[in-house]
Amino acid sequence: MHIADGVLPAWVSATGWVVTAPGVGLSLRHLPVEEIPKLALITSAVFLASLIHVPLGPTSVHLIFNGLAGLLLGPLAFLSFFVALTLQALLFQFGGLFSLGVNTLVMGGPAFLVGWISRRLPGSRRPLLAGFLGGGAILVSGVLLALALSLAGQGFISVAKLALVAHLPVALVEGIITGLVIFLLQRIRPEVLLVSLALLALPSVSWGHRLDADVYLTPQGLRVEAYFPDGTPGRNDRVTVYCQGKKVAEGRTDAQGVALLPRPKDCLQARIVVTGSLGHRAVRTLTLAPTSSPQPGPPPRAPKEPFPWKGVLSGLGFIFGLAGLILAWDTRRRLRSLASSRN
Amino acid sequence: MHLPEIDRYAHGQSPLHRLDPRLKLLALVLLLLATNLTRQLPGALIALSGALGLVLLSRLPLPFLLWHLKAPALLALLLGLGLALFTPGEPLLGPITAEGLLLGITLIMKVLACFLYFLALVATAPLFSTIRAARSLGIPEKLLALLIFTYRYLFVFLDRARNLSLAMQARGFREGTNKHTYETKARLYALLFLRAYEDTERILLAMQARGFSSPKVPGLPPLNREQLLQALPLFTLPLALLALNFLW
Repeated sequence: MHIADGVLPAWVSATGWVVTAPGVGLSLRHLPVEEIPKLALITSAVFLASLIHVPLGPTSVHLIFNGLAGLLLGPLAFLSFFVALTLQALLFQFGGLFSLGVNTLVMGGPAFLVGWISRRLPGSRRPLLAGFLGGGAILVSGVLLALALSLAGQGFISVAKLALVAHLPVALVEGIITGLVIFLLQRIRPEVLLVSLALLALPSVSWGHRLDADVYLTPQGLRVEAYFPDGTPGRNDRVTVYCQGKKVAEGRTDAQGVALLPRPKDCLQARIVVTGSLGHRAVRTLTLAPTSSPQPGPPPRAPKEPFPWKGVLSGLGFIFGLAGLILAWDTRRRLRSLASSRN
Repeated sequence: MHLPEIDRYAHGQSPLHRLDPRLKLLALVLLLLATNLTRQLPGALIALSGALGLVLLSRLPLPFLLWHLKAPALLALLLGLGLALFTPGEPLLGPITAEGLLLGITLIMKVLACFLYFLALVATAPLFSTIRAARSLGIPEKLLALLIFTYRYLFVFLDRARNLSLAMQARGFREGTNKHTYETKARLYALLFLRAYEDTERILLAMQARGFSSPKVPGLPPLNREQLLQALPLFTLPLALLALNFLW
């Protein structure tokens, strides 16, 4: 629930802004310029997803996704929610400008918490735990909302209790969906969850340079060299090799930024993801020719595709048909003009 | 799922459309502040009549107002009812108390007034002008760039979500409270996030290829005297309200 303008007493709204504004300022300072499109797009997707309703018994609920945003974006999810709520207020009048501070705290606060936890708890992206975090985020939101409302006045306390109770089923649904979404994301593109935007720590290191990587195929296996544009090697970065969406090899770069990994077997195209500190990341794809492998036996052959006779014939038929129509129309036109000139 | 329609009547000929978006934004902040500080019924009444006057001046059509009113009205009614029922005091009618009723009506009027001020001043300028106005008033460029990006991609993702749900319907998907629905919905959400992630890299590369290095949100040209004079009457309203609040 977004609190509209005019509901809360001025001092509660002001307190909300006093906490939210520095949080937004700090997040902005820690947001590298090249992450702006990324954060904006994920924010947009989360905003949109929150507009799609999920049926629940006789009614339907819309989810908030603050837990999921925390898992995807880390502590910067707070900024993401500030932007999303500003837009909600501007476009649809969900919430308001004066209550924006409180609303951001209510929804972005738990997102920040989940983001903070997920950075410190490596297992937090397991679907079950993610589900608990997603549901928990909504519960915290409910408590914060109830708190804000009950601060507003005596008469609001019952409404606050009601709002808290209304959050319980939503938390359940949100937990289930968050767990499922994380499960699916891990299955489809696991590196999505490994990517993280810059943390709220050591911003000067992450300021505006990007990780590059070169990948070579050598007789010993895959040689991955990670480096920054100024020549600094990417030390102790995690290198993960994916083949058809599955993780096939993993390793770390040494002090020279070099990692040697075994060549993936039976793999035509490998995705190599280098994940550095503070969310630096480079993705390369390498096409591996099947013939160069010293495997015994005949090289695997690509399945022969039958020649699309049917398609060719129907295409030709279509072209001829069209040509015939045009000819017929043209002849008719000419005959008509002939007829009219005779008259 | 609805397309945002805030820009629909942004180009009009009313006196409010002609005002500078910076001054409108400033006036809006002052008006919201004054309305939020109001605690008594007379103050709320004056705020609401001022808001109604502004909306009449803005010539925004009624269906547009009503469509946008849905969300705040629902909340205001719920909270107003809660106040009327649960505020301790002299019983008036069943559980409704006189004090509660007064508070509830004041609340509903305040919410309505804030809503009308907001629409009258924000919907009468294109959203991008309002954002540029915010830049001129000192809001950080990065934040505004984030807002613009998010707003722009909302339309892209909305289209995409519509296509996906249309495809779901075409395959005979029926919603219900069951495992299948939840799994399907989760798939829909996951696909939306995934595509967004895949887009980010492509878009950043495309932007860098066009020379993007840091976001630039242009402010508005400096104000002239005429614009200031035009907006002067608008500022009398919040100042009067504020004065009223302090004197009451």
